[in-house]
Amino acid sequence: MRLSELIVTPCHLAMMLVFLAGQVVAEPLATEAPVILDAREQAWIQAHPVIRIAPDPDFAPIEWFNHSGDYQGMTSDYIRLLEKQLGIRFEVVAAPNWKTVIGMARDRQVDMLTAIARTQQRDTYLLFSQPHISMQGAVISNQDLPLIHTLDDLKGYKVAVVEGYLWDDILTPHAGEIAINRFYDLQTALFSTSRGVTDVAVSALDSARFVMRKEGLVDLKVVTMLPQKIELHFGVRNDWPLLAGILNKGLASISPEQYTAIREKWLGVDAPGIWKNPLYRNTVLAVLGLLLLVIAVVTIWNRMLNSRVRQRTLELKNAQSQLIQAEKLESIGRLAAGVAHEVKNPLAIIQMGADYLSQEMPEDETTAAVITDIDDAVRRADTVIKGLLDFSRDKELLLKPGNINEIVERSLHLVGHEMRQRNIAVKSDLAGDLPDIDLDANKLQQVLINLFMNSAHAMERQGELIVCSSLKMLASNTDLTGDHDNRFKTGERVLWLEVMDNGPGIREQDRARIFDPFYTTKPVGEGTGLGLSVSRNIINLHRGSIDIRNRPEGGAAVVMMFKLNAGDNE
Amino acid sequence: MKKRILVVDDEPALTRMVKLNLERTGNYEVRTENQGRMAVPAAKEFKPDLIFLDVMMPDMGGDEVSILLKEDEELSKIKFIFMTAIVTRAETDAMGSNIGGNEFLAKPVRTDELIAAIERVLGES
Repeated sequence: MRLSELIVTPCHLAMMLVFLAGQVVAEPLATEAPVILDAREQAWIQAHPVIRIAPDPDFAPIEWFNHSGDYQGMTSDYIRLLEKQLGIRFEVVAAPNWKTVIGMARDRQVDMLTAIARTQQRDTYLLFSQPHISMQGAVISNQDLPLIHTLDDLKGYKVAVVEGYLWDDILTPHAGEIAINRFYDLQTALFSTSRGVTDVAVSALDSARFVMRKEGLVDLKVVTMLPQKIELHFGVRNDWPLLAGILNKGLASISPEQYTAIREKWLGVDAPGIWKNPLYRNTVLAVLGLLLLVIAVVTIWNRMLNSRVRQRTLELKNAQSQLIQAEKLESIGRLAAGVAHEVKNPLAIIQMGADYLSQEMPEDETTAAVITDIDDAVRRADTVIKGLLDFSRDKELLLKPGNINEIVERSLHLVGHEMRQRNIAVKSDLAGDLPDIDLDANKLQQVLINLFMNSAHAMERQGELIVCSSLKMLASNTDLTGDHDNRFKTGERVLWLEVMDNGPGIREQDRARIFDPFYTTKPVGEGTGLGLSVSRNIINLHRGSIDIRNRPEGGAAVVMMFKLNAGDNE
Repeated sequence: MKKRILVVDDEPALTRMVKLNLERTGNYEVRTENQGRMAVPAAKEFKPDLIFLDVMMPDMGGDEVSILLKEDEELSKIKFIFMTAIVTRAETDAMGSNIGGNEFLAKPVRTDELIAAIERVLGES
């Protein structure tokens, strides 16, 4: 039976957690190297050239035999060091288990045990060296048990211990309150906790940790550190007191660096790696792989959803703006009809009143000017009303095959007088080979005159109005900027009509709204804000598009595109 | 001999203006009515050469009046000109096909346009 005296450290638990947590502390004795054995001791060694030792076969990482039967662990390194320092030769006797080890020591079949806790009972047949290893106790479980801090807190739990180890002895007096499950080795004890057969295991922390790593018991964790710790010594047969003294001298000769090196070798970061456990490794790899796969799938899925959401949002926005536009048109239509009737009658009265007065009043310059002003005012008001009506009523076209160049020329002719008055030069560059398209000549003429007059107003006096028509292959997306209804695509051949001026161009903030009804950049009284709206409606009814841009060389360009008839788009 | 013109429009001020402007030329004798339903009785009494008809009147529209005129044997030969506050092409096309022929004038109309229309319509006969 491995039994040791219980040393309850006087230190506060927290202090231990800080300074001792989880460490097997190899305690260097007062360092007085090199060892100088006295003559008596040297003589004794010569008389006893071989010392038989029996390590615990299953007490990793302190000492154990590996699969090849090699002596492993911290004490194996101590023993090798001592052989060198003291000139002793140790002979390792492999016992099958701890119980046998103890029996062999008692019967003096071996001379020395390499890691044993001191008890009164063992004092009857062993002498003990200074302690060389100290290990803290710990409670281990696969559950979170925040209320367990001491052994007293284990009441009501099923507790796994290794039979005959210190922890068994400590807990046995409380067997009434604690369900003690005894196992023949630590591995089995920890497995029982991992599988839920027991609630917790109590063990020296470092041994437990070693087994947990080796067996890949990743679900187990340290619930709490215990104030109790276990101290291990060399134990020699009690008729060889000289050997105990020699061993103490040997331990004292081991330098702190050597102790540290040994401790790190068996307990350090690179201690028998949990990574080498195939179960653990494969599990981790599988989980990681699965995780990566899930992340990849989720990411891809997210991207797809995102792009779908973006597309839908765009579609919704388009639909919404079309609805708003339709609603605007509808209400403008209603307004226009009402206003037209209510305003046109008074206008007619004013007009004919002015006509009458112009005939009846004495003919002087002032009267003539007043009459002219009234006439102009009536005409202007009438234009606004007509614009409203055009805007709201233009829902149908009379489409006939026609040549757009003819309409351009007729429209230019109609504004010719106005342009000459304003000192505006007119240039046209009309492609000769344009095919006929289905168009409403009167409506397109209305659009063109409107655009020409806009340009004229923009240029004030002097300037250049340029009209170009051509067949054009849509090369890039910039050609499509005005195509809000996605009627055209790149690579398509279209009829391209451009009206350019060298006025101030269009301000960026106006560009987005310039086609909105009632949006005008002209001074009050000079524009209804309907001309471009009406124009766009008309172009839309032709299944074309209209866009306004700034020319790099200055001035504005209105770009219109029209579909070619099916046979012409080769 | 002065031409007799009947003007039917629900705006008294407008009919007054038309009357003033036409009569001051010395070529026309003008009678005005401000209710659609008065058009037929007035026409029977006044026997005009031409009637100006407002299309949109509250009690009876010019289109209805024109139908009554055409149905009346005595009045069916009288020419008429529609005057309307709202004239778009679609509208005139529709009315032309429904009511048949004759002239449309869009308000506000100038006196010279008015006279030109009268001469055009009466000159045809």
